[in-house]
Amino acid sequence: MGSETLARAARPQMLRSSAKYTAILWVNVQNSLAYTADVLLRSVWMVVLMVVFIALWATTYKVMGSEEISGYTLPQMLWYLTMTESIIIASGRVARKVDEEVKTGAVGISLLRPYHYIGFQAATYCGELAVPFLVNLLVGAATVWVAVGGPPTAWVHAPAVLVSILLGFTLYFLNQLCIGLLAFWLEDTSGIDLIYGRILWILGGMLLPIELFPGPLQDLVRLLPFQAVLYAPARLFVDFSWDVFWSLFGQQLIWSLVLGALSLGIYRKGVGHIHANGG
Amino acid sequence: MRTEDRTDLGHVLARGGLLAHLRMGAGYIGLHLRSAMQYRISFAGQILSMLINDGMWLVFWVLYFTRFPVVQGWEQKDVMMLWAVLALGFGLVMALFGNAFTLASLVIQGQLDVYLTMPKNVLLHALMGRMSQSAWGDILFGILVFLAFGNPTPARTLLFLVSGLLSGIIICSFGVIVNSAAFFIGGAQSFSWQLINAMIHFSTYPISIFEGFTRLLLFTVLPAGFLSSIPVRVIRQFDPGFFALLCMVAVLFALLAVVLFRVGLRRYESGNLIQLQG
Repeated sequence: MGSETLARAARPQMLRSSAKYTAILWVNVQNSLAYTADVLLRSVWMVVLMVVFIALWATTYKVMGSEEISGYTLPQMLWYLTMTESIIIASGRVARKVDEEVKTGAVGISLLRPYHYIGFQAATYCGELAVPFLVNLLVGAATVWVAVGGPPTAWVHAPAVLVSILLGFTLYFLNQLCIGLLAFWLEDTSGIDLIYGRILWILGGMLLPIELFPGPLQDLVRLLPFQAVLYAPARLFVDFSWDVFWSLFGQQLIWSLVLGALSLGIYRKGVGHIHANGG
Repeated sequence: MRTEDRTDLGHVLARGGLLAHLRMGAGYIGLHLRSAMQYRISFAGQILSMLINDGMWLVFWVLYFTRFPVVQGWEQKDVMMLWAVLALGFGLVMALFGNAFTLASLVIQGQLDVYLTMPKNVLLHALMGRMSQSAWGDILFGILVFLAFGNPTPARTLLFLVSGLLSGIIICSFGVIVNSAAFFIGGAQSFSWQLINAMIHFSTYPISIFEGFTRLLLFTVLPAGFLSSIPVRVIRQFDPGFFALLCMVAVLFALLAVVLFRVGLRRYESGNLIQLQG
């Protein structure tokens, strides 16, 4: 047995596994970078969205004659929407992909490969969203910066905000994974995916910060996992405080653990239904 | 037969030509619907999905106007009418002329060949070659919202239907215009989709929130301003001058679409793609 083989065997299993998934992530990042022109062209949509939001909210604040609405100034409102839109546009259609792979049997083939299917999907998802998220955030930021100036949060809080953004992406992925894996039992999960997406628009705070909701609805929304995907990172981005961070971080972490366990459970149950015919 | 003869508007309007094309249209609608009904549950699911999709936008506006009752003269019922008219117009386009937004793909992939070989107007035929099943959800949504929030008197119902038709003509024509860029530049699909999405998105917001250069853009290059103005200036308070302008804009855009497509078709080269047309 060669020394290289021995050295490889000595490396802890977890490190070898993480190297695998890091490689998958990096390949997908490189894929995104291979079509830079396409990514840039798609980011034009971000400009359209922000121009509309700037017009809507500038008018709203002017009509209300107030500098602050439910604790948000106009710059905070627009930077909030920049963050929510950047996250949701970059997030991709994991449910549709997983649904397709379950129905075509590609999930079964992945059982033969030296990686876990969920780990593979997670690494692919992270690699695919990295470039679009950064590009859309930069393009949206440039548009809003011209209109109302720079982001209202201090750079010293950036690491904490980044943690919240990553947890938001994690929650979105786990939600989508659960929906896609339901294809083991349902003929078509696209309806559930659509409903989830639309619920995220409203209850996730994508279009309106939760503070603008009527009181009872606000209380309900804060108990649900949707606001942890978009509202949490965007809220921290525009109005950071450590109290709010720990509260939202706690919610995001708990929902991540719950949805992680749920998706693993659904996957294990579903994989048991796979019947592979040789040929 | 030269391609120009097939695309000549005069040919379409000639005796029998228009009737023949109307019969073709009716035939296509019947074919598409029968095809959709083969998978009724899926068809119903698509319609329901679109109803939910459109409905969520209304939820946003209800929340917004609950907080801000009047914005630049616009109230909640005005935005409801805006969505009703746009959904009806957009739905009619996607249901009857489903290829309006995908002509660029047909051009680039050489899939116009099959329409060139048939004795019908190429543009009309290509537009009708596909139906979006979810578009019926948009049509249903528009009608339901109008019935629920539009105070449907006979006069207002007529104005609603005519507005939907005019907005559909503008939307379809704009789709053809931007997709015709594929005859002149290579990768026009992304470009045309961006423009169409931008126009639709701008038109779903009250026009009065836009000012300056943006507003100018929305009443010229991107006709979203006309679409967005309909609820207030046609349905709520009928303005004959604006209505006449709207009709003119619809006719102008339609003519421009036909002319651009015809000019572009002269440059079209077959991709020798073998296709079967049912």
